[in-house]
Amino acid sequence: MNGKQNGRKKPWGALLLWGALSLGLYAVVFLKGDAVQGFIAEGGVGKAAIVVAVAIIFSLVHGNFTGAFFEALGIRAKGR
Amino acid sequence: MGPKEVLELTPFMLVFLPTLGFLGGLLSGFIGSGGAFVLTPGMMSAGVPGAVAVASNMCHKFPKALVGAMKRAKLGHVDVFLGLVMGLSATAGVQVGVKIQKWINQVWGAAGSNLYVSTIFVLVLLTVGLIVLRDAYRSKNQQVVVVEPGKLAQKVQKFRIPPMLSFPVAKSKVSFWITVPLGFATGLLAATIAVGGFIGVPAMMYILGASSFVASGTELVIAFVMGLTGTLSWAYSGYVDLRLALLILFGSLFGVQLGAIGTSYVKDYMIKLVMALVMLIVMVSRLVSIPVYLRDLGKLALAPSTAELLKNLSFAIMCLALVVSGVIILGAIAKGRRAARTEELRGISVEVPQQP
Repeated sequence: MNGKQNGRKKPWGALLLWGALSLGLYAVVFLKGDAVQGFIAEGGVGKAAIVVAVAIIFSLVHGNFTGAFFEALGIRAKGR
Repeated sequence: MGPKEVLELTPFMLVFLPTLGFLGGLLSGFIGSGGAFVLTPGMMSAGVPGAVAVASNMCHKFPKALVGAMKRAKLGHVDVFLGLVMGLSATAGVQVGVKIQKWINQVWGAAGSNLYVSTIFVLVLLTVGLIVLRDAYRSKNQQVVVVEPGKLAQKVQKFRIPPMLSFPVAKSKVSFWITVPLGFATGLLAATIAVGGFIGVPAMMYILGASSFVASGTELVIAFVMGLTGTLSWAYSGYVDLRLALLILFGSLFGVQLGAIGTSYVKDYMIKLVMALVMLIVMVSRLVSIPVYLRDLGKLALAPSTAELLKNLSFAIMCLALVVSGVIILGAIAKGRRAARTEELRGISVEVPQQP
C-alpha cells in the first residue's frame, strides 16, 4: 500500500447511493414478504427465472454497497 | 409442512441467518467455498424444513459467489474458462450423484442413506484435509515460494490427447479428457457430501496445477454455475424461500468482500491452512453424528438424551469451524494491514533524507 492509495478519495457518494438502493430493495421484499413468498412458492419456469433475477439484482446492488462500505472504512485489497 | 405454505420469520432468524451468512461469506471469499455445511443445518435448527433450507441456501450461494468472483478477479485470482468448464461438468456430475443418492435412499432407507453420506464425508474430508494440511505445513517452511505445479499436476499436463484446454490465469494446459471427467467427479462427490468446494479446490491445485489463490478464486465461478443451476431446479418446484436467501445474502456479501480482500494480505500456505482446518473440524462434526445414524438403523443402543447431545455437539463443532476460520482470516487481514502500514512508514522515512 502506498501513500497515494491511502490518500484515495473515500466513496461516500457510492456508499449512500448503493446503500439507499439496497435498503429500498430489502424494504420491498420484507414489507411484502408473505405476498412475495406466496407468489414464488407457486413454482414453474417463470417464477424460477424471477427468483434468479431477483437474487442477481440483490447481489449486484448490495454487493456494490458492501464493496463501497469496506472502501470507505479504508479496508481494501493490498496491491500485488 | 409443504413448500406452498409461507414460513413465519422469527426474530431469531433475522439475527442468526445474516450472522451465519457473514461468517460463511468470509470463508467463501477466502477459500472459495464453505458456509453451506453450516447454513443448511443452521436453518433447519431454526425451524426451516429440510428441502426449503437446502433450496434457500443454494439461492444465496450463487449471487454470493458472483460478487466474490468479481472481487477475486480484480486480484487476478480467477480463471473464468476453467471455472466454466469445471462448473458445467460438475453440474452434470451432480445430476448422476443425485440419482445414486435416491437409489441408496430406496435400498437402505433414510437412516442408511445418512450413514452412507456421513461415511463418505468423513473418509473424503479426512484424506483430502490431511493432504492439504501437509502441503500447507511444507509451504510454510519453504524459504522460496515454489510456483511450479506438483508432481501429479506435471504428469497430468504431459497427457496430451486433444483437444487441449488452455487456462491462462491458472497457467495450465490440460487435456479435455482430464478436465471434464475431473469436474464431473467433483460434482458426483458434491452431490453426496454437499461441500463441492472441498473437493474442487484441492483438485484444481493438485491435479490441474493451479495455485491456491487461483484455485480458490476459480472455485467461486464453479459455485456460481452450480448454485445457479441448482437454484433454477429448486425454484421450479417452489422450494426456494427468497426471504431466507436474502437474509443470508445480507451478511454474506459483507463477508465475501472481506474474505476476498484477506487473500491479498496472506501467503499461499494460509489459504491451504484455513481450508485444511475447516475440512478437518467439519469432518469431526460429522463423525460425532455417526452413532446417531447407527442407532436409527438399530445397530447401536443409544439413550435419546445421548443422541440429542451428539446432534447438538455436531452442530456446535460445525459453528466452531466457521468461528475458527473467521478468527484466522480477520487476524491475517489485521496483521497484513499493520505490516503494510509499517512498510509505508519505512518508505517515507527512507525517502525523506534523499530529498534535496
